[in-house]
Amino acid sequence: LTPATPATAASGLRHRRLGHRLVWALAAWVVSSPVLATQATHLEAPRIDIDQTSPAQAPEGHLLVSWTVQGPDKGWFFILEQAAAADFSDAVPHRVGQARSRFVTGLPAGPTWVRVGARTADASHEAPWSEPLLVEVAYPSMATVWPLMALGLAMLLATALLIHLGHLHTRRETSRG
Amino acid sequence: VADAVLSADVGWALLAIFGVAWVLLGVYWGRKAKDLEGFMLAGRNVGLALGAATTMATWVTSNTIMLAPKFAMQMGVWGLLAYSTASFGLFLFAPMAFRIRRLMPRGFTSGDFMRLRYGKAAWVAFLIISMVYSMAWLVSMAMAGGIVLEALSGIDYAFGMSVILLVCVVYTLFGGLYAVIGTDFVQSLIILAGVVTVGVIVLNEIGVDAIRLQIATEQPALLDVLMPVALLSLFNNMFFGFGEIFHNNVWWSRAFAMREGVSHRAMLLSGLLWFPIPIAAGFIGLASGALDINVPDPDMVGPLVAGQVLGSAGAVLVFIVVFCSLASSIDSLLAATSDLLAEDVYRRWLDPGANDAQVRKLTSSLVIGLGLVTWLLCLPRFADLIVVLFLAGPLVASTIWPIAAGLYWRRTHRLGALAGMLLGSAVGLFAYFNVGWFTGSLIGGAVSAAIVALTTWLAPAEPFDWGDLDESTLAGELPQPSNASSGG
Repeated sequence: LTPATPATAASGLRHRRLGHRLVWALAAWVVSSPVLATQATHLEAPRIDIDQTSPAQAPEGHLLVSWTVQGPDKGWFFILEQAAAADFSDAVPHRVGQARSRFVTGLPAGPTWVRVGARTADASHEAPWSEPLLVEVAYPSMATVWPLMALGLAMLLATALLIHLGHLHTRRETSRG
Repeated sequence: VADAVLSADVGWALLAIFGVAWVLLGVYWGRKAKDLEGFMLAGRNVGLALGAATTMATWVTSNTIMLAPKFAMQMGVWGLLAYSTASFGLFLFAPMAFRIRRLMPRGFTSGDFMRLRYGKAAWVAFLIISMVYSMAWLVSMAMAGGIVLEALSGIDYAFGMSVILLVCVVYTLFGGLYAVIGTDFVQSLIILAGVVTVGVIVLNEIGVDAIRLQIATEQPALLDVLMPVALLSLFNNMFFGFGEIFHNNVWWSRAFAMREGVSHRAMLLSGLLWFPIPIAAGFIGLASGALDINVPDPDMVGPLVAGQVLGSAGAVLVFIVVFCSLASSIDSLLAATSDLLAEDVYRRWLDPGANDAQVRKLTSSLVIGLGLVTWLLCLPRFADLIVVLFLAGPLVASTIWPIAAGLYWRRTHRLGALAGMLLGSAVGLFAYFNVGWFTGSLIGGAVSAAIVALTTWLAPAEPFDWGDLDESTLAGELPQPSNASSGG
């Protein structure tokens, strides 16, 4: 290897700059060429179909939403939107990444709308949204809950009392020898 | 697999290191098991520290690490507290362990108690319930092991699950309860240190306010103090925990194995140590929304969030904690269930003349057999973890009162105990399928309690002689202890 001098270093720098300009010019020509420009603007988007049938029931306020993708999916990142309004005007987006499912939880009672879309990493292209999924959340009524809660409390107290009194008796027996 | 935080090579290395360590430690401690009593009950000489550690480690299962975050994610703060109510079972079993040790100083299994206290019909019903539950617990744990190893390191589910089972089978086979308790002690220290470390780091990373804000805006039902499913799961989970602990030979074998006077304090201490663990694990599940981490499978939320927040080092820690919690529970269940089958089914039923050497040999074969059956059941990865585990809830909850009343009340009727278990299981399962999984244990336990209490009061049996529970005095091996009596 020849040790670098200031003159050879400057010459090398000029050559590298020239090379960079050539590469950029070539890239600009390729990108602006009619064939590739058409491909870029009409990048084929995947079609997304949610696996669950609408309306889906979620009696406990949660649902595992999964979907199937048709067409190219490489380089596409999925987004799940969840909304109370059917037109998704109040939608909350969730990044999903490249997985094909998301566990949706903590849903309020009543209807919730869910749809899945996708976009490229640089957000320059977006796939059409899936058909929306209506999720119906109907929690058990409090008229069922309160009696069962009362039953649970009564059983807890009765069990604890049975064991506590029995233990006191056992202790007394033990101390008596 | 693409989302795994660790490489499969790291996963396999950790599995190899800890697998070999548990086997070597198990074999080392297992050398003390010279006879059947040593193998099954560690010589009945376990002290407070080991007793508390083994109880705590056994109760921190892979389900705790995986289902507690899932509960929190599905049911918010109530869900998190619901899981931690399983520690109440240890608090209530503490005085029961004291009495068990006193009434049955030479007892071997929970089945012994049912047979001597209630006769053959109730004993058979109890054995069926216990076996169904034990298999459900074993399967859910082995499945959880495979799932979590796959989530963290990309190791294929079937391979990870198989290696964990194999390691546990090998060291339980060689060391019996000595090996189980010894490894449990080391594992409990690792679990405690690991869970505390992960919890503190995650808390520092996110903060409670950010989590609360995200939940309030996007998952409002999780902050609803009157969320119906969450409220019901509070009692349901509590009674499931009572049933699991009161009936299962895992806990009875520990009561028999501890020195007299130790079991009560050890159970209380282990309950106190266990209580915060599902809360810390559940907090991680609650944080998943605030971190906007996609959870493609709710069973994996805990390890997934911890791995993504803490990176590779955190994932290694979670991997080790999960492996320890799996091993500490699977080994205990393998040992206790094989003891139950060998002692209750073989020696008491099929071959009453069998000697200790024959029973010991059979116990070893049963450990292998149980491991094999569990492996076959786990291979298809057929169901949700909650479904597998909670289906056994109504069955075990129906044993709460037959056992508690049978230990303390002289006049509890054997038919009442049998009817309590059968009807409690049936009605509880009906509720499980027709009302919701979050009611099965509660209703099953309540029906059984009502039957046991009513039959005791309305048609009391002849007063039971507590001395009949001590088979050694019946066989003339030991002097008869003073009669311990109680109400009823």
